[in-house]
Amino acid sequence: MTLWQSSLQAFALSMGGMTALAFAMDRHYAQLTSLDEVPTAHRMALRVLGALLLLTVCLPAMRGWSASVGSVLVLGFWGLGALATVAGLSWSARYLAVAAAVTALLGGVSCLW
Amino acid sequence: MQPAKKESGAGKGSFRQAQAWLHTWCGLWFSWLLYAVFLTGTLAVFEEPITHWMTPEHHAHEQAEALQAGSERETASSMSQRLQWGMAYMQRQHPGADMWELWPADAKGGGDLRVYWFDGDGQYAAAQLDPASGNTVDASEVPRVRQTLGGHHFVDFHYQLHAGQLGLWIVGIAALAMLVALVSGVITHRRIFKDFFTFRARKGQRSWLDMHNAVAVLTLPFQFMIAYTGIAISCSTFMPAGIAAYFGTGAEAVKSFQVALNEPGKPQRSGQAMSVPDLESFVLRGQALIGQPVRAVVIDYPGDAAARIGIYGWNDADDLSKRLSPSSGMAMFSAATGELQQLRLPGGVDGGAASLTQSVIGGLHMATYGGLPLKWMYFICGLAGSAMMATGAILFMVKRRGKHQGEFGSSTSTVYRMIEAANVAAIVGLGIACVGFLWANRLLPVEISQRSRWELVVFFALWILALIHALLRSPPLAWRDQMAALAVLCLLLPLLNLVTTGDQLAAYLLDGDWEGAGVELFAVAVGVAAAGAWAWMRKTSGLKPARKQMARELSKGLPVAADASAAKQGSLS
Repeated sequence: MTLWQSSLQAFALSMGGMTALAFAMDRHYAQLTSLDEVPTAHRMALRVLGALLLLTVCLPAMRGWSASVGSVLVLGFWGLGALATVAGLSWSARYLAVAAAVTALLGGVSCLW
Repeated sequence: MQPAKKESGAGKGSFRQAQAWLHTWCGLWFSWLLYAVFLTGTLAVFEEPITHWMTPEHHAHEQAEALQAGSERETASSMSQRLQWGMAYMQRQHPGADMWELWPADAKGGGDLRVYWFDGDGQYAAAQLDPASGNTVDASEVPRVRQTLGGHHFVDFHYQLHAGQLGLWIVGIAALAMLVALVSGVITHRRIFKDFFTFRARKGQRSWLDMHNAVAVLTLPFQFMIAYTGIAISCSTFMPAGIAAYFGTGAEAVKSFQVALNEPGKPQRSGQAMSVPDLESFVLRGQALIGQPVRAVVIDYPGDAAARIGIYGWNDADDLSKRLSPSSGMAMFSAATGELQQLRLPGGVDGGAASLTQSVIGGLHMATYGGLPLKWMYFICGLAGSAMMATGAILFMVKRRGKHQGEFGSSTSTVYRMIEAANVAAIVGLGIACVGFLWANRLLPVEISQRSRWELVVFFALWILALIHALLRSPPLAWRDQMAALAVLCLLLPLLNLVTTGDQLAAYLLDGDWEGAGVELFAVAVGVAAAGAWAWMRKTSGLKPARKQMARELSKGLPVAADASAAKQGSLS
């Protein structure tokens, strides 16, 4: 596994996690749906999913580098994932939702490989 | 225009308002310097690729070497031969030097053979030997290389401003101000979580604030880390009391501190003569102990019975990417007895937890770990940090273009005008100076004396010209002119390279020279962005037909395209 592959996995998971957390907020949920408020069940599900994906970023970071370097990189990837989410939300919430779901899925599956 | 009533000030209003005041003013006065430090520091992440691009003569030499690498490897001299040649040269040329340092080969046992020593004035001196014959490489045989600071210019500028200790202090104080601005900014930002992912485009002042918040909040851990480690690296300069108490002040004291820190247990000369023993056995033992191929062999007091021999290793890139402390392995032997006096494993340090912390802080700041992906992460976060300063400085003026706040009494308009000019020169002008530095590298004659200084002269001259231009021209036009200049200089950089050296982007890509290609591709990307910004400013200013409407537009308007009438109002009132 090269450092680039680990980076891609970490970034994909981070972007997926941050996007899930964003859509758990009323303002961004409204960008995606016609609802002004996120239904409680959706909110919980999105938050849990987001938190899990963000935690999973640790896997490629620790595997690709080491525990010490990986823990620093996790913070960096969370930041990059969040920047990508903000850019995506201001571009198109719908495209972002699809893109984040696909990349997070690919990232997650490739981690299990 | 009636000055708006001030709602906050130092010690006025609520705690949050006082923090907002602190954030505004601390941020504004340091934003230009911090932006310059951040942008050049960000470019410094890729110091080596920039140096590579700026030394095209080396580049041809490197390519020729790579082509010959296979055939050369078989005929290359052995390590033992290289060590002997190095020693023979030193014994012949510098028998009385206090220290000899041999760099026999690269990590694979090939490459250059270099030697270093302290000359009579205590200065570090160097020579290069031919790895095929051991003879000194004659300076006239070396291909004529343009003298340049290369990417190191950006490293030096971002922490010393090319002004030595004084510059270090200025940058240190600015970094401290940045920490103040970060903390007060977080306190001021009421909706830090609610607006976490929010960016509302095309909404004037609101967009600038969103952008400022997004780039700052989302990369906050990086911004804190880079400012803090930046200060902490130079803690012995900024907090000299501890060292002064133990070692005293003055040049001698600094020297004895350095010896105690870096060379603990260094013996004194014994006065008894003893020739330096054969180095190969020391090298082999050292390599086995540290688990790294030899990078340097350092001999203290050669020719004396108290001599000691240090074997330093080459860090393996893959290994280095996995640890925060970048130090390489080292084994120190007594030359007389061959006894191991000191051993440092790769990543370790001499001097306990404090030294290890210092080493990790250095590694964190200089991105020595993590490999290339981490360098890109630092690059992106560094650009986000630069954008944080730039949007903050722009936001200050966008807020005030429509609403005069009278902070500076009767000279408020003049000060606003100065701030606008400083914004243009600091943000776009610095970009022009940076790319102009690359242009100077290609345009200045190779044989000119003090060439690398002239490159710096061009850098600073362009920056000063940008400031003068911004002071003379109305702000919207100054933004547009300079953005256009930046776009042209960046977009034409590959063409300039082709005309002056014959190297071209397509060839870089075909040869797999990602360093050369990366510099030009990034320049082109900046050029496209600058051209886009220029077109946008032009369009926005064209949309404002009537003066009255302009005033209204101003409050939502865009930074750059702040209209000409605002500037006129500013200069007239």
